[in-house]
Amino acid sequence: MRKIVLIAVLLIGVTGVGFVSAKLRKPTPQFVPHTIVYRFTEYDESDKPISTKVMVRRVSADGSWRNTVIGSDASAASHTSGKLAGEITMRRTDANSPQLMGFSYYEDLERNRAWISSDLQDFLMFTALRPDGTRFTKLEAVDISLL
Amino acid sequence: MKSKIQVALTVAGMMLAFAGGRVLAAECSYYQPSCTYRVSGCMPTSGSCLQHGGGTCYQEYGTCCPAGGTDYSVFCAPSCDGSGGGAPCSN
Repeated sequence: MRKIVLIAVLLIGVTGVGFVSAKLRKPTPQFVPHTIVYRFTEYDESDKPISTKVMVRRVSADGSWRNTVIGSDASAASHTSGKLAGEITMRRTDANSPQLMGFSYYEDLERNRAWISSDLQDFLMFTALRPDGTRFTKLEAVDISLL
Repeated sequence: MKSKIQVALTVAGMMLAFAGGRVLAAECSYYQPSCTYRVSGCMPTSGSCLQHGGGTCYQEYGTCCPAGGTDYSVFCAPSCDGSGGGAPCSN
């Protein structure tokens, strides 16, 4: 009899732990799988373009991303990859928002000017400025496709 | 003869200084973000990392949190997966 009670208590305890852990667990964010082809331009201190490359960015549903930068010498492609920790923006676009290639975005007019798609949770344009206000680099989406 | 050697040495010295200046100018342009940001991605940028212990010069970019805005950082590292240069967000 004591064994049965012990097992019952154990089962109830394990069930409770499972219930609490399920409640506390944060849901894994889902992303719209997509590929963006960017024009990636670097500028010198006098705001002159010093190089233009192509960057292909692929984002999976689990937030994994892979950026491939291709220079003028196509054989010398370099890769970076990682995983988004969560949504990059909470702000949402609406019917009046501007669009680029069918994807709506909002314009972030903070120090580094950017166009951000809340649907894709990704940048459509990003201008990195130096502290003196001159451009350092610019990413511009030239092609967007859903996977 | 002696003056010719002096001129040659001076010219060589100037050329070396010029080359050194070019190397310094092409150094990776380190940049610290002014906000904590959620990393969106990173990519290699121009710039030598010889004076930073080697590696590749990377630019990392993302959205500031929690207030919004965007920022970036530039640093030398062996690789970039979005977990290095930018300060992490708490949520």
